[in-house]
Amino acid sequence: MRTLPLVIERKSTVHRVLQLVGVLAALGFYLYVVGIVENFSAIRWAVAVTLAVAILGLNIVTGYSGQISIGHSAFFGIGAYTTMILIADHGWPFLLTLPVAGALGFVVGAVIGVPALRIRGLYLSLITLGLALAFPAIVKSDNFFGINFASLTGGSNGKVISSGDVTTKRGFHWSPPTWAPDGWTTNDWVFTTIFVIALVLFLLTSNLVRSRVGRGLVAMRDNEIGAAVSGVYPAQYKVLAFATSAFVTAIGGGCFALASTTIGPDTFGLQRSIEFIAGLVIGGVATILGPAIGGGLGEWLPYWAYEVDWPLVGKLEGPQSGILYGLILVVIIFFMPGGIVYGLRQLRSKFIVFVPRLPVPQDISATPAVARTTGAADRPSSESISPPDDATAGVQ
Amino acid sequence: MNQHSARIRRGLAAALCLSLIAAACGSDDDKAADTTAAAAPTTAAATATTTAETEATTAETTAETTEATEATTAETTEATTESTAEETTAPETTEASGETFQVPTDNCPADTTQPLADGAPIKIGFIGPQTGPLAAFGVIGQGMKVYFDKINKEDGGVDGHPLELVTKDDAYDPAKSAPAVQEALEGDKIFASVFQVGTPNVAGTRQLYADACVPQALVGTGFPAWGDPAHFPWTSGGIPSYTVEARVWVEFIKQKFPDAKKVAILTFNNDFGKTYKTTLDKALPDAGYEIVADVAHEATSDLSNEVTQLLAGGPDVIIGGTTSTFCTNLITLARQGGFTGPIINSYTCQSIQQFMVPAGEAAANVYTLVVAKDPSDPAYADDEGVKQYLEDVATYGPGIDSKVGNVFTGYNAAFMTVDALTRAAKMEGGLTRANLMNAFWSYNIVGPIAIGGIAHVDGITDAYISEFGVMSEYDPAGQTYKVKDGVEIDVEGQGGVYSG
Repeated sequence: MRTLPLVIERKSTVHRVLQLVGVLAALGFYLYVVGIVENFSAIRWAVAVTLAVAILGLNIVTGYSGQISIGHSAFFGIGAYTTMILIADHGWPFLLTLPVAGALGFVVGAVIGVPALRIRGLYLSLITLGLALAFPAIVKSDNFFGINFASLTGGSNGKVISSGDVTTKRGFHWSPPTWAPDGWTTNDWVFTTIFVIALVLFLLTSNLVRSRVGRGLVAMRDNEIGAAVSGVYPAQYKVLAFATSAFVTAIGGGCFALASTTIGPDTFGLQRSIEFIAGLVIGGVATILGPAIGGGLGEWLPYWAYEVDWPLVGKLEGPQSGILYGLILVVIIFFMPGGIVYGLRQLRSKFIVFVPRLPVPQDISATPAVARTTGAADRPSSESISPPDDATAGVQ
Repeated sequence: MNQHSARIRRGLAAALCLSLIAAACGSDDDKAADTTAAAAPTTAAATATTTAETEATTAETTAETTEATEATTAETTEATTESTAEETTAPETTEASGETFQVPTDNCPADTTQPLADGAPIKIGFIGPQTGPLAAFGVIGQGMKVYFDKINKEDGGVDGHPLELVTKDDAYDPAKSAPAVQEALEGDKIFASVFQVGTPNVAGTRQLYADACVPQALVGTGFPAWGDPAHFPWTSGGIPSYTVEARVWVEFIKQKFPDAKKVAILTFNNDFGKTYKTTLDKALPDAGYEIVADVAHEATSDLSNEVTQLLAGGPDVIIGGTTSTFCTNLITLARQGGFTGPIINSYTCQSIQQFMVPAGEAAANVYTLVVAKDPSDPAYADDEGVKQYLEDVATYGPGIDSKVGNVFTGYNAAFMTVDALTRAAKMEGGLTRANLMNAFWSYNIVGPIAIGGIAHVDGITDAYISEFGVMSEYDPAGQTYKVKDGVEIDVEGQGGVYSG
């Protein structure tokens, strides 16, 4: 008797329990960072979460709507600089800066989305490449069409999240509130804040891609003409995808400013964009969990490659660790071609298979109106024969 | 669907290749970062916007050149030490005479004023790029390790404490500096950090050091804000600031061209150029000079308009507070415009092959501050300090390329650190972090082969450590700087402290 894979119906109790396990895993990760890892590592985890949010944004436009963007470092930078400037120069509370950062990202994203209406594929990525290259230069520029950006952004000297008042320690505080547990450090609190914001954004994005809009984006990606025929207005959807994507990434940038406390123009250069794309591909394109994994690896892989004391060769020199980092990326993609999430799904499908809950067949004779569409009743059964989509997507 | 996702994947792969190529073109190669004052042009070409020579980049290149001066100072003293006895004290390095700055320790953790346990290692942090486009600066750490190993082997460390180097990578990204510094402070519990590189990187982390009361000493950037003990007592500079350089120029004009009266200034319109401009705008009139033209140029300019403006005032001397190929353009355009007088260049465009050779014969009567002895220059083959350095690298760092300027830089930074540690150990209270910082604020090093003079700092009247060098004329025929015939300028002490 064949017992594996275990077939579980979606939205069944067992499925819900498994989902709860996922939630508990997230909670466990949170408690691990706040409670167990050393204080200074908490800040790296916080940065990793902000990168995950940025990649989540990139995923909307690249993963779900199929438009390749190499310009997301700029949206990330817009968010980071907005938060940084509002806090350091205007004394805003951190949380209030995020809507502004997001809104600015949204607007710039919409503007960049306009060329996407006519240009696609590699040509579109060239436009976004231009954005990635221009952003650091604009930040440094003191006369960009009459605007002195350098005085706003600190130019090439970068900007520090500090009120500049040296009498208070660290200038700017994001210290734990009074109700926080004893022993919480600033780093714990920074991580907590960012983690909660990230959770919200991941949930919202997850809902978005399952909504009418999300399905419209995917349809447009897979067959633009078909989608248009089915009522998806490509112009609106493409611009919306870019704008929403930039919105999410910019909020990630705002959080990044809080976590890293210092930013400079070259923090948001082309390399950052490539990190995002690499993170997205490694994690898993067009998945919700992919960006989370990609963000974590994006922050920690280079660090481990440099810091780990290897048994035989010892600690690697900087350039060698870069080679190791690259090698790890290659190995991951070689063994999990669709990214880690697809790799895991493939592994999981050997044990557990999720199938959609089938609609309960109607009593045909009772409702004559439906009787004409009996084909609809046949379809679910034929679908259940073929393996569910997500279990095999990574194989092909 | 699969077909489409495959298409996306193909597209992504192509886009990645494209961006990787762009990134490859965009990054400075190691060579550029290694040669003095060379980092700028590659960056500029890459970003296709003639990216302004970033202040930070210039700071770095400056680091290499300048440090060597101190290194030579260092090595002489060190040579003397060895010849006299096995003592760790360098007889010629003394604390600055008179009162020196004392760091306040009221808000510090208790261990700030507790001496290091007997025999415990002294952990010295070096936070800088080990990976990324500017990873070439990482070899500064190698130079440090050579000198620390030498001290550990020959003297048993400092005051019985072995020296241990802790390197942290920030990939030259200021956003990565704060986590790296936190880790060094809390995880590795470093005793001090020296020669941290990058202006925004230092600016963004100095509060962390101040909170932890750990010295962030001899930082490797030329930004003037590091001479600010009143506000940031735990951060001190290690290389001359651009302010200091501008002062040297004024002093040089006074000595070399007593008949000159009118000066024209060209500066780069960015933070780096503004530092020159602010200093010159005050120092020149104070010294009795008339500024006939004061022009700032953009990164996109070809300088033709700007040079016309400069020449319109009929200057006796032109000062170029700019960098990279703009130095070359300034020289050629000024000569084409009929100007034969002296032109003074920023030491960030000292690189002969990159900026001077292209100007050809026009580069006669051009002067630059030379602050570094180049270990690869045959002219210094017999120099005691350079010889000692080459020998130490061969002994303690086999496989390290001793000709690389950054290794020399690190070696010197380590010398300066050991000097401060040695003095701190003799202070009342022993080897504490507070005493070490006090020692970092009180240098008075006399080196017989130093190019310019005494490295002095007391933190009260003088917060800048290196304020000297040789203004040398470029020789277009020999393609070299005539350092031996140059004018030694020492504005030591004039820098005062940072005033915002």
